[in-house]
Amino acid sequence: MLKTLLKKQFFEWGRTFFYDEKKKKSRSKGATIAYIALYVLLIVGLLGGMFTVLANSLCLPLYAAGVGWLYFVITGLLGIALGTFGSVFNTFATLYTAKDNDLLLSMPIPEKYIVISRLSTVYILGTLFATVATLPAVIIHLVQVKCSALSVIGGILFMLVVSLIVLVLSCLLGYFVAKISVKLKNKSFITVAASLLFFGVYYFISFKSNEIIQNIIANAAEIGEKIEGSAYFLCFFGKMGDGNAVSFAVCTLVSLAAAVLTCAMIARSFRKIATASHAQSKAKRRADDIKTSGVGAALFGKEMKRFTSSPNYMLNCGFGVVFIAAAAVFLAVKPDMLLELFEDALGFDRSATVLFTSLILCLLSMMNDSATASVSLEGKSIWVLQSLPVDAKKVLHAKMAVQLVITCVPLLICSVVAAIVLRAGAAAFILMIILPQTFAFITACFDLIVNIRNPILDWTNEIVPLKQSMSVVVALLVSFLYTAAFSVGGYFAVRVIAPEIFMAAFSAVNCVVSVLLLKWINTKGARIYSEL
Amino acid sequence: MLEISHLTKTYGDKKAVDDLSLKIEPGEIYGFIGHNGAGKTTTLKSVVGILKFDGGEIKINGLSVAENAIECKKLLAYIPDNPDLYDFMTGIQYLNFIGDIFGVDQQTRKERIQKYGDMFEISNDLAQPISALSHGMKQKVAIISAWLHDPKLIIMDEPFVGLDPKASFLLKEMMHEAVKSGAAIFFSTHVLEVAEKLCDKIAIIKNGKLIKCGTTEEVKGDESLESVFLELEGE
Repeated sequence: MLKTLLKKQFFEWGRTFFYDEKKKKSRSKGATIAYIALYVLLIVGLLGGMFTVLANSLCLPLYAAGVGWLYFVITGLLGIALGTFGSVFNTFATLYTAKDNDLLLSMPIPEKYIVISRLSTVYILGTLFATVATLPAVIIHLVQVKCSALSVIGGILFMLVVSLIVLVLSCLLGYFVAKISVKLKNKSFITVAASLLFFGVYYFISFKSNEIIQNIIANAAEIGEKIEGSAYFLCFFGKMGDGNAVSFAVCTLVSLAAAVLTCAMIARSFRKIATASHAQSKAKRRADDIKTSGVGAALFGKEMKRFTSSPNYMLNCGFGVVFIAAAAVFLAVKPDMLLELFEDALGFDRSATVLFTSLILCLLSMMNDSATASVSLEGKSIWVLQSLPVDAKKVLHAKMAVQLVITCVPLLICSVVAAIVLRAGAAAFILMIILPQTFAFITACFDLIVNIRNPILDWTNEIVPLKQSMSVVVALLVSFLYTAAFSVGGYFAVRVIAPEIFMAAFSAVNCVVSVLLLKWINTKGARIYSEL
Repeated sequence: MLEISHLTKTYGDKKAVDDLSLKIEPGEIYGFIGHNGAGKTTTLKSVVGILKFDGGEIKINGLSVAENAIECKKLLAYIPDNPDLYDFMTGIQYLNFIGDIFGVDQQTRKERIQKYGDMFEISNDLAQPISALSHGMKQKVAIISAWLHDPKLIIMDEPFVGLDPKASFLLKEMMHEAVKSGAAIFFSTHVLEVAEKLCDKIAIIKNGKLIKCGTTEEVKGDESLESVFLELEGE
């Protein structure tokens, strides 16, 4: 029975890899391997590379200071933070909001089996994220310090223990989110606010990481002594990776016991929480709740409501808003840092600084990609719009409009702040506004097209179209490569032409490509959508 | 009102609907019966423009569904077999959305929502998120949304499933009221007693082919509809 549940869970989780939604048939082995390889390459290549550099800078200095265990404490804690951060909402959505909870609960299946099968994918996702930090640490340690049987076993157990701690923390946080979400009104926004606070702390630490690392390296012995004195369990944990047999035996057993206990606790409360959604206090009708609006406004309102009703949707596809707003504040408060980076460190002149600041804004805006899941999220209710007397292209425009609104408005403010701070000339000022806006438009078009061509409509958990779909991966990758290509082009172009000319050319390319993409959306895209 | 001529729809190699022709006049309640997988839902979805069909023609008020989909959809309302509405909206938000798409003015909207909401005893529950409503309540919201813009053609797929006896009775009353005012209704059902009592005409479909149609009396003759249906199905 458990095997069947696990099979179902893994099939749902990895459906994008194994099943071609467009052709309605399983992918070939080759295509499946290629998709998985691309996914792994993205995670390992982008995130793993970053942590390899970090591990490389920490390993030898800490061993030289005689506190090698501190190296594993730091990389282990990073792995735990990354794994927990990456899977906390996945835990909540996978466990408590899956649409087949009622079905499974009605079947003669022990609840612990349902929980175990659900947690298996939570565990794998958390482990994937954590391993991005811990695997480079273990490899760097084996290469730079010592490569013995004990250190290999220690390294493997270190990764296992970190993954189990991630599971425990994800479960506890997911449980907490579920408990409060049953009781709260406006829970979408509260969940998003809490998450943003979490992200804020996370990114603050990330931002300060270089300073923190330098500080640790400089005062390694002293810090090690303090930790050993006041939080010996951390020291004990760190020694595990170093190959201390007692440490890895104890840590493995304790983390295994904690994981089993947590799973048992989740299993005990699972039914109560998973079926508690109807126990909310009843809302009352308002006298003015019958309102009229035009077709366009109704479609836009519907899409916006879809976006704001789901913390998962907002956090996964609207995070750029926070980054753009933070960039605006940062530019206003610390304008000199940008000039120091581009002009003093890289030797650019003011015009080139304006260009590269615009490109950074483009990169930030890329993180708003609500259109990449907007078609998929119609799910089983797609019949509503398909049966209504409304042009499919208007429906698609509404989906794009949400992404444009959440991106263009903050982007405009940030561009103006940046242009003022950089004291851009008239032409550069205007182009600094136009370039990111045209980029936002082209990405909105592209994101939508990718989802029209790769929709997932039969999901049971909205995490699947939001996080695990090919649409999201392709959209982010292509947008990134597009910006990267223009950044590299800009780097060389500013040596021969004025940066303003390059900005104008980039904006013009965006406009031309956008027109072509929009034309596709209005014709072929609308036809595909109405036949989904 | 609705004219289906030689409708054909295939899924891969399988013909879900095979050369089906039907004509429904204003003021008629037309029942559509057949075994599971006979092609009822495919036919209904083709009529409302959700599915593209491979052959034949569907006309609503003389307009081709294939060529004038939007104009045709303005005249009709559709209730699917499963009320998968927008879970992220409340009932009233959903009704407002449907009203906006059909351009129903505020006063008319208010009156109709009040009338049908009270009738189905769901007015207060319209403030709840649709995700919190039961299957039957969602079905009631779907019915109210269908009647909101006074459609000329109402297409329903198993509309009585999930409704309590009182709501089923009210829906039948609403259907009678609608056809009296000149609308036409085409609906599928497995409840043969309901079809027998409610419908002016009945069509029986088997493996995608229309095997019998006509007035209820013509179809059933002196027997019960159930006997005729089972006989035609080869039981």
